[in-house]
Amino acid sequence: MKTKSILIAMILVSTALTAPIALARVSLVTLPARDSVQLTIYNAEDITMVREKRFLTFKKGVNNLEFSWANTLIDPTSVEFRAITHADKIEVLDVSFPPRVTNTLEWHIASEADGEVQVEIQYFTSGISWAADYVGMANGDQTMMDLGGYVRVNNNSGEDYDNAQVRLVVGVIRLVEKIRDLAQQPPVVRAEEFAKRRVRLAGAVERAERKKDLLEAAPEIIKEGISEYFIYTVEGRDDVKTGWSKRLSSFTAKDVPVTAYYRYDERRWAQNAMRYYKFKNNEDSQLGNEPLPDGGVRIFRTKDAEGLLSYVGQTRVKYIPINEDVEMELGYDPQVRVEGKLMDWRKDRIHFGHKGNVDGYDQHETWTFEIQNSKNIPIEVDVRRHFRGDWGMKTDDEYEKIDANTVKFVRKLNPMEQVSFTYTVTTCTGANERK
Amino acid sequence: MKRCADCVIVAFLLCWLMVSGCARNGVSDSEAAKQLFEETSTDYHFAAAEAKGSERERLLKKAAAGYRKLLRKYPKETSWCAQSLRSLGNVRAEQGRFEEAISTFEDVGKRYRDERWEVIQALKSAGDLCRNKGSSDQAREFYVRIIEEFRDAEAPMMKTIVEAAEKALSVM
Repeated sequence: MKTKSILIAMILVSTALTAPIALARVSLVTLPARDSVQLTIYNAEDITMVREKRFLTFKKGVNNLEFSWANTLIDPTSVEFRAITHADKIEVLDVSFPPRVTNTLEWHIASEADGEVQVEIQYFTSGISWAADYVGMANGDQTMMDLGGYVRVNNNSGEDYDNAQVRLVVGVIRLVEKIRDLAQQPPVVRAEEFAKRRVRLAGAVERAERKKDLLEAAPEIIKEGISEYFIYTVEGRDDVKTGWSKRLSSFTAKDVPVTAYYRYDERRWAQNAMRYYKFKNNEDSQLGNEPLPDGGVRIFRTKDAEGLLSYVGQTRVKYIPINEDVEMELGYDPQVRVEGKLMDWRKDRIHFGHKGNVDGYDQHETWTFEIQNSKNIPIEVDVRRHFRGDWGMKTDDEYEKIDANTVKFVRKLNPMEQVSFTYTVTTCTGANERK
Repeated sequence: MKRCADCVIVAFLLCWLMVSGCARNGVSDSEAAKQLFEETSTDYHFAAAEAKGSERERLLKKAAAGYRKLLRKYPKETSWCAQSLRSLGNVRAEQGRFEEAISTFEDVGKRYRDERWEVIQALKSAGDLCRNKGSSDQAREFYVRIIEEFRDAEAPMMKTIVEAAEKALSVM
């Protein structure tokens, strides 16, 4: 795709305010670069709000300003111009479409100010998306980790955005009343609805910004009906050129306390022990400044004194509110083995119905579980067992009941240690059921 | 007999490979229309803005031919057709063929009513062209149409154009 940068050309008119605009003699005096640009990317609707600021040199009278969106995915209907400084002295008189070029507009701006004015041009574009990811580097005994946050921005909008501040809309903003109804509308109504969506998105972003400014605190998750979102700002600025996919460093947190443990649950993972890492998005964890966007997480662990790393696992996390625990399932670890054996089985209290058929009995099962830690670090293993119906359990080992049908046995193991626990579960069925 | 059947299978496979190969290399009408529009606007229309004299005339003719070709070849690509027709109006204005330019701008609204953004631009261009040529009554008609048809538009740029039309009417 041919790309063409947005053209902002400042053309000054030396005539008085009342002179006919199109007949005025014009002279090109400056072609200012962007002073700053901010991208607020909303993946769900493929909409990005662009706010660019420029310093323009105005002269008293009518000033012409050209804006071109040729060969870009900018929505020209969304373009807005406003003066930030000398706002009361700057007025858009007219907008026209010069016939010598196509997909270009020309603002005719009356200025009572003579000199530099900061202006903001806001518009929406499509073709820009983001994806967040995290990399955790855990220490040898898996008690601390350094966590890095990254955001990959894909720009296929046809426009380069240099030195851009990138913000992400994380979560969902309800922009459309009924999507199904919208799809059935004729094109005219659909176009109007798209315009409404953009207005709603701009409103939602503005509300989030206002709330943050008001509280002078960390950005909050905004909950409005079924909308639940927050604005996440990537630290620093970077060039986001069209056709590029760029990974931006978002934050780095050192020494984040982490709890590593294993979970065994046959119902979910058959005979595999799954590894988990848990940390909290709060100040004690060197985090907690803001909610974190959803994304993929890859964890590595320092294996030896020389800093050699081993891959632990990867997962995806939903966005993480402040002060919320993050539990990451990092996959099966063959070095931790949990094996359950049925040691004894019998039935008793067999009850016969009036026709001589069996209509109730008690079943007794004795299970022994062995846990083997073949790693060179201490670990904690959480073994979950589920029972059905009218059940009761006897054991000399420590356990905790989680709900009506689930218990857990939590064991701490030293490197290369093996432990076991035994329980007998009695299940009363049929006429023997007491509840 | 067996050899004949083999020939049929080979011929069928060759045909299938050719057809599937074409499908892979083929571009949709929408993409082709976009490409033609961008080539026409960049290579001829934009280039004409920089050129002078007979070279400018030649480039404008080429631009007009490119936009007309798009209208002929891809009539179902209404978004690109509306852009082409409006751009053709701009070329006519640049060529000094003002009556033709104004009727071309009017045609955008008649033929591509649903392409609202193109329609409002065409109406504004037609109004401005009439005003600059001193045809105030004709300009007024276009500005009034902008206000009537786009009064309720939510898009910021459409609102700006409606306000500009109101301002133009107030001083006419």
